[in-house]
Amino acid sequence: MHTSKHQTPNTMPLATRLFIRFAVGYLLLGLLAGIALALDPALRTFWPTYLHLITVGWLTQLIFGVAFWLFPRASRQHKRGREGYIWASLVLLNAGLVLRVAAEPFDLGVADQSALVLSALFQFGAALCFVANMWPRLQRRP
Amino acid sequence: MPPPTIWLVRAALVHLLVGTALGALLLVTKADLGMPPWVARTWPLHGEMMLLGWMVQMAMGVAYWILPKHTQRPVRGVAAPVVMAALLINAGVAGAGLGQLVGRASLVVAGRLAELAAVLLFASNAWPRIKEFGRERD
Repeated sequence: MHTSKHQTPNTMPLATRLFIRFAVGYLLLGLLAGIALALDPALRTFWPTYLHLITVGWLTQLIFGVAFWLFPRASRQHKRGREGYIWASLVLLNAGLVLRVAAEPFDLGVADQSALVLSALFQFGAALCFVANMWPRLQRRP
Repeated sequence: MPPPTIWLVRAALVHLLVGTALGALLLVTKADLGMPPWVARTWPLHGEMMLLGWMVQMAMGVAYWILPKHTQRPVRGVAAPVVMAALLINAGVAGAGLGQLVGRASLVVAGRLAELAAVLLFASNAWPRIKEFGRERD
């Protein structure tokens, strides 16, 4: 039977597609950073950035996207929970990571210091928004 | 969603929140804004919470939920080892993380042993469920 995109309940939502595409991008970036680290020991200040590109940019972002897609419905009205939280999480996580990559490996001027503080706040905000979306969805299906 | 999955995922989300808060504080220390010195010592706890408490625990919870079921009850296998695994992985992360924070090697070893036991208990439930859907055994 033909079913339109909007009627299919398990169609991968746009936020999930964006999470996964960003995740793959960070994985590639992380692997390139790993190669650069191996080639030039002087780049060791990139080590924490490299680690977080893989663990936050790739792994955590992939988990966020897939969990938002597949976890049980929150309610009839909010099938995937309050979606505003997940969009905020997507924007904050990626903005936080970009700021981190731009500021962490370099000598800190005032601009870089502000970027690091903002990055810290954004990444924590992303986690908070993700949890706010997920928590009400963790329930036994009727 | 079965109760052990709900407990494991909720605990994983708590680790995500606390671990990210610690990570945020650690990142702010690099901005040289006069953070207290103890903050810089929390990185092993941050790592333990994010890797084991968040990622591994989340994977365990979701795997218990979605791996193929048995054809006979209990369809997801006996739940007790998974409940025990949930208790042990959280105790393990706390022990190994705090042990590194306070410099107690015995606490770190005890925590890591608890983490190992948690994974073995989880595997005892998951291993027989790694099979084709609808088949009792592979």
